Amino acid sequence: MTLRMELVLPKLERVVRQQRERLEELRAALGGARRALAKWAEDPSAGDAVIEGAMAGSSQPYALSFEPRLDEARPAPPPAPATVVATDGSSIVPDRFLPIPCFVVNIGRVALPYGVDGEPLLDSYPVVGPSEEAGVGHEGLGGRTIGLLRDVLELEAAAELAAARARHGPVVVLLDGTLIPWDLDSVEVEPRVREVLRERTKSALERLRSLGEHLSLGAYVSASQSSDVANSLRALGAHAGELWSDGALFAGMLAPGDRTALFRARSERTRRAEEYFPEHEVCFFYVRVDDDVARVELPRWAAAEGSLERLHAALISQAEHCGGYPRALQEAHEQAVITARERELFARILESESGQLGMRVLLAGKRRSKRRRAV
Amino acid sequence: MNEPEPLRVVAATLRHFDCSYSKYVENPVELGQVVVVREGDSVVYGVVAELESGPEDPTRPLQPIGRAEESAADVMRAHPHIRQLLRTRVRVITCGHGEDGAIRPYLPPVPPPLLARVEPASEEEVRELVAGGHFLAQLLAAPDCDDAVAGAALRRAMRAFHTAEQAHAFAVEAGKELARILRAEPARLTTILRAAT
Repeated sequence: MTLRMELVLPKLERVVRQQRERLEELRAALGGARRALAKWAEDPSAGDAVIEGAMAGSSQPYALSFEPRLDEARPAPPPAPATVVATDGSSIVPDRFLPIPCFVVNIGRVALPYGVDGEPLLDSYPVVGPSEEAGVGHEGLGGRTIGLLRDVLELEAAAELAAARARHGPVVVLLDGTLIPWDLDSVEVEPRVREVLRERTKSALERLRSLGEHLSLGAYVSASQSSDVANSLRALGAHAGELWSDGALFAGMLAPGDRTALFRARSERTRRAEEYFPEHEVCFFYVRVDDDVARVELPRWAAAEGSLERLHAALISQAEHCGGYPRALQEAHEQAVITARERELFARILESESGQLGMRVLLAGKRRSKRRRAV
Repeated sequence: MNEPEPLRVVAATLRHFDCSYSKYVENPVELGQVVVVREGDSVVYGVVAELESGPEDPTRPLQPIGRAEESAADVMRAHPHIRQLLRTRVRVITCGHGEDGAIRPYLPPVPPPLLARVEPASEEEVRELVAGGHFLAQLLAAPDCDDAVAGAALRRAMRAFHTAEQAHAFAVEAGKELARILRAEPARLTTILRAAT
């Protein structure tokens, strides 16, 4: 054992003690935050105007109202027949110790029919690049680029699967993470690649939108640390300085299965995203699943009452026997995950393929030493 | 009507081969049934000796979910992912192979190919394989063949004969062969004969 637990333990105890003190401060602040939320609910437009004023020049994310009664919890409706579709991805980024830059994105796909026709599907497929298939060439093959490509591939796979299943009835699409891929505006991704992936994101969202009210869509962020609502409440005068996250605010307001009202997301990032995707304004709500308060993002066009209720019901039903996390997302993850052994195997095959074509394999010292590990 | 789920060879030796369905099935091949692999250099015949169903990934055990009033079918319908994550596996003891247009109750020269399809043998093939009871030597020599497997194989073999006279004639021949093979194990002989009827 290289981590000396006897030295870690006393430090860990200190960290836990400090955290408990912060939690007590948080509880004291929550009362004020809830009062501010109730006041905002009395006149959402007036509250929104105050918040928009506070947003000017701020880089913080904020929430604006969308549904009425924004301080009330909504219980989950009973589940309705639908196919639940989910995708997730895992990737191997190019390794500088390997002879050629090469990446793999493995996309896990799940379609689970509940009370509708269609066979259950759990599978995965790899995309290897640089290649035309991946849509990413040799330019700037960093981790950010591959991460962004993975997000876009997940969205595309979900759109394709949802379109195929829509003929059997309603479809609930679940994505892991934020609705709009996080790095679409990252300067660490080559502008040309960003442009291509932005267009592909737009096409996938359009494809989903074309499925109409039969489609429900939710991008699920477990244990969200977002603070959009907390920042808005601060703008409305709540002493919310100690509010770490919206999750902490809503944890005490939501019973298991409940969701909050739907809010509109506002931030520098969503503003930039909306420049690219003006038709896909991001809304969100929080949902309590066991002890977890998850954030669920959806485009405004997917916020019709029927679609929203179907999404809420599916999330709760999915999480019921899955340790508080939607089953379809968990299985998509299981399908996508690339194990450490598979990563090592991939590296060895890449070396072997390169060697057979006469490309010299410069097995750098660090990599070689990790493989041998002799004393 | 859905196509029956294919059963495929996933591991093979000369003396036995392991097969798997791609998911959990409730109606797999049955204990003692003669199955055949028609791919590869020779057609390979065997007797089903073991069936097992469970999670594909041993690190993800199946949880006993479902309400008290729900049957297994109800639970499977309510949780459509489960069947996909389970597998039904089959062990087959090799008992013969096809050579020059005839079925011989001996080991094939090579194991059946991996991923080859495994299917129930026709009644005609079963009759030819079990004729004279000679397949029993190969079957009883397998470590996986206990008395229950041998009894089930004989019971099922008799079903392949269309008349009572034919089935009786086979039973007499197989009984004699069994007595010859197990002459030093009379207790085992008795148990298998009981299980076969």
